[in-house]
Amino acid sequence: MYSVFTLRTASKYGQVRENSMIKMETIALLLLVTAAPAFAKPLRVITTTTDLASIAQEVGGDLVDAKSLTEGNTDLHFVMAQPNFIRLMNEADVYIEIGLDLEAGWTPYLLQQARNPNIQRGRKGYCVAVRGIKLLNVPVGEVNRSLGDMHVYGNPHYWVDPINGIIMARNIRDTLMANDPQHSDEYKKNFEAFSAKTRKLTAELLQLMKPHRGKRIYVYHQEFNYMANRFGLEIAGSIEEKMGVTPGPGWINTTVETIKKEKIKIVLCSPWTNVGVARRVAEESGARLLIMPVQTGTGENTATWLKMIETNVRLLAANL
Amino acid sequence: MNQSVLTTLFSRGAYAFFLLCAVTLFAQAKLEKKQAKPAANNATAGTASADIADENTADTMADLDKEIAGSDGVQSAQTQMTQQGQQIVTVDRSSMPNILAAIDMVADKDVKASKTGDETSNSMFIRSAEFGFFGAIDWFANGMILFAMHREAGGYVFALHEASFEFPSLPWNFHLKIGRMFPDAGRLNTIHQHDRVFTGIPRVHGQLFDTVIGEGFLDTGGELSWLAPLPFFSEFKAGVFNGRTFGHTHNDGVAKAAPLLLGRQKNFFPIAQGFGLQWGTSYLRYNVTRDAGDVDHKFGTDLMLKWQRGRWASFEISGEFWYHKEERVLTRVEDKTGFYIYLQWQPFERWKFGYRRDFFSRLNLVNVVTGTKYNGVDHGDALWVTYSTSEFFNVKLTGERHQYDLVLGEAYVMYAQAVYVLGFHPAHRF
Repeated sequence: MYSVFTLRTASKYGQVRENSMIKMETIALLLLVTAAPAFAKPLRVITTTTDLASIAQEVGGDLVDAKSLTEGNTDLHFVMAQPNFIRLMNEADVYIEIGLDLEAGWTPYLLQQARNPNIQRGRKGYCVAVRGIKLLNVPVGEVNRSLGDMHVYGNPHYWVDPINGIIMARNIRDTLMANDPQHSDEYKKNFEAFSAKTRKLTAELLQLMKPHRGKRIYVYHQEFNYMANRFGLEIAGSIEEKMGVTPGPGWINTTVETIKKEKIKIVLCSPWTNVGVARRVAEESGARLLIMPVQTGTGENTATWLKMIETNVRLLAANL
Repeated sequence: MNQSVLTTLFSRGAYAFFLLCAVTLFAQAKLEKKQAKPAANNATAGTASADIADENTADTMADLDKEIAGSDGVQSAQTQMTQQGQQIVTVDRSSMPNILAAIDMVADKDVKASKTGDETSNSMFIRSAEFGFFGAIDWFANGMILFAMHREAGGYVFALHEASFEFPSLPWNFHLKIGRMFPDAGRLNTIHQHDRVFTGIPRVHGQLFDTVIGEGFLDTGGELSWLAPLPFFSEFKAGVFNGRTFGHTHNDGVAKAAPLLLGRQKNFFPIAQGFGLQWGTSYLRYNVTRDAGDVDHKFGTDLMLKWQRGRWASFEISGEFWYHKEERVLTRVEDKTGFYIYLQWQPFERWKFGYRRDFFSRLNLVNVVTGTKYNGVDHGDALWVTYSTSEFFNVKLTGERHQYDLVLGEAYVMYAQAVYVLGFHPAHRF
């Protein structure tokens, strides 16, 4: 449009100048168009956990910049609602959470204050990763707080099952595609690569755990159920008498006796729980305590979600 | 007990408490670092599984593919897909508001009354009982309503406490809240008594905001806030309220020449995960009578430094400073200033220990006998211990020393408090 207008008004002398200007502008325009993808801002993805950030980064590749509000080794039930989270959520194109009320104590206020219409529940920038996951420990009958910190929709620690990670990635892929449709093919490709990698590792780990199928373990908090379910282990009980409540001396003694009587060899806990109590139970019962880094970025060999899964399962297999 | 002995005990206790907090916090941080290393397991990790049978892997892969494919389109209990492919939460309570009931029960006792009489009621009573509803009004607005019963002047008064709606999805980083509310001036005014870390009322807050029950000042109007597009959290807020009354009242007051105006700015600086500093400043302007020249100004600044490790441990230092300036057409002005600062330390999951220092001064007092000017200074200290079985129930034991200006002298009081919450409770702000 610009060139048509300038040509029409050009004089003979001016024609040469105008033409050279047109050429320069055309080149500049071409340069801009070709360079645009290099300057394109990646999609800003904010997640509540490091696991979600890791999976989102795998699915999004260079097209997204995924950040977690929390670090690894965080008690996700009790996170301080820091105002800087509001700032991060304000700038986010996509917001991803675990759901099932795991973050109920801190994210509703942050979402309300984020002043970002696109990431509110029901909008295209909001993603809850649980869709499609087969839930465990869904309570039956009347549920109230006398039972502890109950999750009424089911156990929210579902990301420790590698296959659930693929389902989470699929939900994330769909959200990324909805927000950045022109790169749908890349997201699909990245998802397929991630899925293939995860399935391959899962198949390997299943073989690794085959000799241990049916073995019984004790846990501190009910956060290993999905992993146990995947790899055929049985959770004989938990050190917490009620969900999220530190047990009293009476229950600890009962637990020690149970572990001894049933000859259970392994007690699992994660670093964010009450490791002291878990250690005491393990020592008094003669079981081995495994402190499992169940969140990405919690310790060595947990830099990515997939690495974290592999580290945990191999740790378990080596000690069962 | 001798008065000076009590004073010494309080001051020495406070110093010892500060020292203990510092030492234990360092120890706690070291312990935390140690615990955060899963590599410190007494168990050993396995080696690569090179010897896995490949023929079994193919079958397993096929099973996994089937399982993943089967989950596509399956809806978990909490979610479903809309026609546009977006995800929305459709829980069974989608049309039900969240319901709150919070009860604040207090027993108070004068250990030593001031010169003018009893400091407390020397009884056990329900200081406040609140119930309310919170939820989404529709796709655009959230709303809440809260009723409260307070003990005032020997009886219980039941009233509408707060009723407001807000828009969380306004463009250009704005947020609007309209209705009856505790305006966002300083820190304490928006925190209900049952949610505060201490039982007693800081002198500056009681004198400048609510001389009746010490909860705070309520008004009807609106607050518009804006989140600045800066690398750190920085929020600017402006509020306009009726200003017909100020403080805790149960009447509609009288029409004033101008509404109550509020300005607030706050910033947050993260230091580490679960550790940050918030700093805010506030300004209030309102007419105290129908006369346009009778104006009160309040200038405040507040601070919160907080560290928290899940439910296991926390440490916070917080305080507010206020300067109250009066303009009067006919009567004498009485400017005031004061602050409170507290620290609370949670060394174990269920126990919290705290100390608060109060200071309050009237700046324009004149000795009627000598005609000389003097500052009426009140100060005080509070020590408390809190035991919580969860975030919904706690009991607290508090000892307070109040040192008033020359006329009233010194007083010592004890409080025992129990707070319990039924149902929902909104997330706590930083």
